[in-house]
Amino acid sequence: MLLADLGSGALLAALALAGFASVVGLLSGARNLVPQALVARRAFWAAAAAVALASAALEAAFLSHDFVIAYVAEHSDLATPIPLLAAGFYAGQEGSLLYWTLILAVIGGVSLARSGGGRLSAYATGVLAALLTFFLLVLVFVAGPFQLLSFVPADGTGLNPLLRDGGMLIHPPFLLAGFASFGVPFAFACAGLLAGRADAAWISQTRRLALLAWGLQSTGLTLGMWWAYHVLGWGGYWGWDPVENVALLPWLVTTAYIHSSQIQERRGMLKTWNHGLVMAAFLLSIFGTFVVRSGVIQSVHSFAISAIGPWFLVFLGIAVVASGVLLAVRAPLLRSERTLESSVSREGAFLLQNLLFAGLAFAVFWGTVLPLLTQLYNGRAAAVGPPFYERVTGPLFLVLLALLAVGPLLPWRRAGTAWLRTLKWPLTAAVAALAALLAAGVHDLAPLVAAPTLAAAAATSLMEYFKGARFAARLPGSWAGAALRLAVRNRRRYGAYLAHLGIVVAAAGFAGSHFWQQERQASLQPGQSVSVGGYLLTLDSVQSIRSGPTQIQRAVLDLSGGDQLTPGRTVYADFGGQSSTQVAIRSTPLEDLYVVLEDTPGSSTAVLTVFVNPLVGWIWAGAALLILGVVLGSWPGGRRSVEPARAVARRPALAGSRE
Amino acid sequence: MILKWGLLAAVVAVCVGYLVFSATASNAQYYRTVAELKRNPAVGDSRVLGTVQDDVQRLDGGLEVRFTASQDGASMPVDYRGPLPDIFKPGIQVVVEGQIQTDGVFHAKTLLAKCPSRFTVAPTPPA
Repeated sequence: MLLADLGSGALLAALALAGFASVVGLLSGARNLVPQALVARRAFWAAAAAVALASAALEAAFLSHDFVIAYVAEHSDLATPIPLLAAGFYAGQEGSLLYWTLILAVIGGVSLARSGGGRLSAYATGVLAALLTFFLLVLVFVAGPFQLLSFVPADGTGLNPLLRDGGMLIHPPFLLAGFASFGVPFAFACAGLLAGRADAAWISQTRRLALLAWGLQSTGLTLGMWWAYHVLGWGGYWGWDPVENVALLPWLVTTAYIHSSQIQERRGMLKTWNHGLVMAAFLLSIFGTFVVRSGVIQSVHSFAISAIGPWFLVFLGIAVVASGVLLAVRAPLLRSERTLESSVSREGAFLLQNLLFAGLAFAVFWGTVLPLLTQLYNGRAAAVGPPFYERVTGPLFLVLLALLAVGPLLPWRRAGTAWLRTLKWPLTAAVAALAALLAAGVHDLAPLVAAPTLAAAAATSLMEYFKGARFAARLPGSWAGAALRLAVRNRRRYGAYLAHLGIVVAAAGFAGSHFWQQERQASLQPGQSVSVGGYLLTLDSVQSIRSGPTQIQRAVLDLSGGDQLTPGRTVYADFGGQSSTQVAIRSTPLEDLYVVLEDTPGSSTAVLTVFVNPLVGWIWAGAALLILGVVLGSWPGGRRSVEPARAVARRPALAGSRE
Repeated sequence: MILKWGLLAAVVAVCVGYLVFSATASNAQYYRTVAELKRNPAVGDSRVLGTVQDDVQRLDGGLEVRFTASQDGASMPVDYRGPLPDIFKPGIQVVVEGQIQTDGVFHAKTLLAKCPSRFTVAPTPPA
């Protein structure tokens, strides 16, 4: 009882404080009242502290098995191991909403502390507090995590078997944090417009926040793919399901923004577009939550379909209208300071990249909402599956990769002809890749186009590092020390190129596993074999182990060459006979052998699905590089040095390498 | 200058528009009810939502599955060959894509399980 009272009391206090901070923040921004703005900011911090207290109460309730709280009883039991017990916090709707609110409050609170004073900060406080107020309203009135049962159950019902996995500890927190953190750049974008400021300070602040949200979302999406691949056992990692699509949408839009913001930073152009992107990313994350929770679009994923749907729809409507009006009213302020001098320039490349990402976002959005649109249009829902998305996004991703090979070499403002010489390395790499594929006997058009493009993009990204290393060699002191200092001083540039390289490596993984996946189903008796892609698997035996309410079946398979693989399947009697699969994966740098035990009829036969998934490991490696690049590029503090940029600028051929 | 930006944007928009339009035209499938499909089986591929009945049979050593799918009182036999989702069992809802062939059986090319609407089961009071 105590923890429930503490938690719901803290949420009520947070709601009152956030509502107060919102009104006072917006008023003090409008009238430029400095002391009142500070009051609003402090109220926001107090609200954040109250949300943290409520979160701590829920966590404590899980750890102390306080089953009188319905949410705790539904998402844990006495047998749940402690790490998963702690993860019960965000295993269901109410808790994940509280987690979302917590992230918004913490990241918002920290960014307000760093935002200095002034009207921008006052307005940002007001907008952030308004967002927080909305989530707290839902937590207090609709989806309370501290609702009590009328009895105290002896034990909880436990975490759903699909969630009993290490991935549960890391995937949802990152994805939800990514979703939540899009609210912070949104608040600063609104504040900039309200305060009539769209200058350099605004852009550097918003850019950093957007990069943080983007990094969190990138991590969350990667972990989601990793989880789907290792736990769900369908041989793939991305199914273009609405729930996945809506998580991708804000990521696509923010990818556009972190590039186009550089045009605004350097050239004072595209201000309206940039504001629109930041706002769209947040609105799409709210749209995503609405889609997932309201059940308006059929999805394979299971989520609680609940009363919060209409609340999110109303909130989304208000936010869309407010953002649109704000952009329209402030349009004169956002006029470009300069114009585009030439399409063949860094600005032109960024612009094309932006348009392509906007196109991707539109295509994914279209495919996701098509059932709704067709239902409205002719009263009957139609849907599209993965082939739609592959056909639309494939060519767009290919053009983007080509742009990744060329864009970073282009100089700002206007490219002459000198930069063309820098194309020789990407072109060499492309020709080499093409020759290698032809020599290997590949005749399909798609890989023959994709692989050289990838090679060229990789060469461009690596070239920047070679140039840096060469420059470091000419500096005094040891080469390694100089190279490290150079990388740290120019971390934003080297971080960006590391992220580019990560994208290329991951894209190679996506392409390889898409074009060359092999799949075979087989029903084996002991002693029988199945052969897939050069692997020969022989069934040794089928084992069945019972432990309490769960029944574990395992197939012991001998792989030619000596290894053993044991895919399994666990059936949970206490979850209505639901089963979960334990995929056996044997990874090498070039391919994964992926074996799923589908069924064991007659307790000696094993029905298996065997996949050979080429280059899947590259996806995880590429994502790791990308995230490393984001961390390096956004590491705070220090002054940016311009040394290498100046040095290369002296050589006209390499002038394009300036960031 | 505005013209230059606009031209680039227009070219990209036309290309994306064409891709989206053509892919929608060739891939979109209508959701149909079991009753509709039984009245008019020759409509090409459809998506059908139905509840799996108790008569699930595994054929061909477990590689193929045959069951009856019901929706609002109408039902039809479904045949599917391929990997089944973990939660597949009688009583759950599935979305099948495919068509009714001359044998009167709906041959599904894909089978997706609609997960239960909640990830949880209700706690029970102590006895």
